[in-house]
Amino acid sequence: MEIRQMPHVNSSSQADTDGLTSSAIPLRPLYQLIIFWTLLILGFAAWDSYQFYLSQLTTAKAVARDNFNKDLVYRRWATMHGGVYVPITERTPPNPYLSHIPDRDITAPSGKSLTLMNPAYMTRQVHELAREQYDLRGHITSLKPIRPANVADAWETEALKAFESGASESMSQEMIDGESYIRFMKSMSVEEACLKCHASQGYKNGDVRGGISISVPWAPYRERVLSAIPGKATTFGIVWIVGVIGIVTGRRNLQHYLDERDRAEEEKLAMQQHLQNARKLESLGVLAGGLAHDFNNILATIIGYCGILKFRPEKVADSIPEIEKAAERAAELCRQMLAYAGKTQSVIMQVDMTTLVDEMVRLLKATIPQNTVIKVDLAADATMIQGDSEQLRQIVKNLIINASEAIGEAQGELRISLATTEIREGDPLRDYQGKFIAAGRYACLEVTDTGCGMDDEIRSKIFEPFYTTKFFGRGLGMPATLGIIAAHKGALQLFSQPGQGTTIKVYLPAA
Amino acid sequence: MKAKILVIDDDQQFNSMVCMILVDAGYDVKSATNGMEGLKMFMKERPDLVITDLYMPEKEGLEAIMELRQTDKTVKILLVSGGSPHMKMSEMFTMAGMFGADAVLPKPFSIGTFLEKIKELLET
Repeated sequence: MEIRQMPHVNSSSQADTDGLTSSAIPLRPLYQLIIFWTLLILGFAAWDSYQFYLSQLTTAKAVARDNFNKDLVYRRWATMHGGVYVPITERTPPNPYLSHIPDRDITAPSGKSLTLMNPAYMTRQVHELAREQYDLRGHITSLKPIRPANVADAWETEALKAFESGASESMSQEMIDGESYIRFMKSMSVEEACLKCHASQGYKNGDVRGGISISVPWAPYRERVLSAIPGKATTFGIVWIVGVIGIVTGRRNLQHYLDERDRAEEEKLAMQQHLQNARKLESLGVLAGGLAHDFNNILATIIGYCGILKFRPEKVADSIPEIEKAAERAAELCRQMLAYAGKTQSVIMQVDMTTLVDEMVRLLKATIPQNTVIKVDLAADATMIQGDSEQLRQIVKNLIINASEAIGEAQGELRISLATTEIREGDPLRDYQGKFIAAGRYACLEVTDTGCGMDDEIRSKIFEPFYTTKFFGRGLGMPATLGIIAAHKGALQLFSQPGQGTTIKVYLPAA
Repeated sequence: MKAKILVIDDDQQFNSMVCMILVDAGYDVKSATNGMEGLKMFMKERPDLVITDLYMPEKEGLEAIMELRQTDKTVKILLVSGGSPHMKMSEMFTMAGMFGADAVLPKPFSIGTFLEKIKELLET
């Protein structure tokens, strides 16, 4: 057994303002975001320009293919008619390679001289016109041309060889005379009408005889691609600038928001601090006023009886016990206040809480009205703790009496239980103030009543000294209970709703 | 004829002592331990003087004083108080006057002062 002054556990919390820091957004992420935005815009610009280039390339290729098809159509038309007769001019002399044709040159009834223009001759002349007017080059060619001028160039030779191997067309971008062209070539097969001119070369119907190559100049398309660059650069530049402005403004707005939030948080903390101080002052005022009231009443009684003794000495037998009683009340008041403050002289020893609670319940049963059903559920084994048995009795007494008075005259139930419980690290158990209960083994005393319960206001004030809701009572029972629990390094939980009763759990560290 | 005095105080020890002093002083004394009981007793006994505490359960002293004064304009009312957890003494005395108390006597007090105050109130 030891006697010691129990340390007071300060239950008030102070707002931790040390952790308050300004939420300044660093500049580095801003720069990173701008760099990312710039790269993104550049990427989009490059992709867009490439897509535009591809679209121009596709257009040029389509033009080449369309021209080929057109050549093929009018060539076929001419073939279908076995060639056409045209007036002989300087530009259209009789075709020397058709000299074996009997009717190559004829005279119209009007006396006008006409010469036969076969499909190849006609195509060549059309190609010459197209080149003069549009720089659109067409070339009818073969690996075995009748006319030497129709000999294939290197690219055409490659294409023609590929046709013989089964390919049907060839297309690529090539340089001709230092200029870029889209070159397209498709094979031409020998048809029945072709044999009129080409049978002498040994061709048969269906043979790959040659092809027409179309070369579309790339320059106008390239010009279009290049001329689109300033417009696209402006568009993407504007988008980039808008984005950068957005990022900078966004950062500024976010900073402003964070500053406002910090300011509001600081103001809230300052207000809470202020309120807390005000509450402490109010609480101190209530404490001082309550103490003064109780002591003045006791002193009034003592002084009164002393006065009686002075004037009526024969009343000594009546007066002295009253003075003693008043002095004892004063001492009890002091004990309650010291218990509340956790400054009680404590006699610490091993206490079996099971036995202590059982004894107290038996003792208090007589004071609890008949309308209240008492249910007791105590742990079968001894529940040992280190504590002051007198103070622990006071806890049990206060809780049971409070619960009984909450039930009052109504029918109700009062449950008292005691068990050993283990709280592990990280368990979300909090005390009535919202603080986590420290991990460890505890003797848990639980007192539940089906009484009137408490609203938020009562719950927040129940542990304040001189706060009472009872007809009789000075409002010191619960504060003293809390003081004793704190001095025993225990914890208290309070569960209560108006009309739904109250449960108070007291956790006292097990020995 | 003895003057009739009603003592209202929830501190039973103080209440008994005051009653004893007043009986010894020759008054007809009645007592109650809270404001509600005190008002019922007043209606029944119609005393000449009411001595009441301030900080009491059920019905506080100021409330009791106000209702007493509304019921009876002439009865003398003496407020005796050791203070209140919720009010300053000076405020309490001011409010007691406003609510209808004739005099205020802070606790503790001597028997002489007390009896003198009673006499004074009953004679005015």
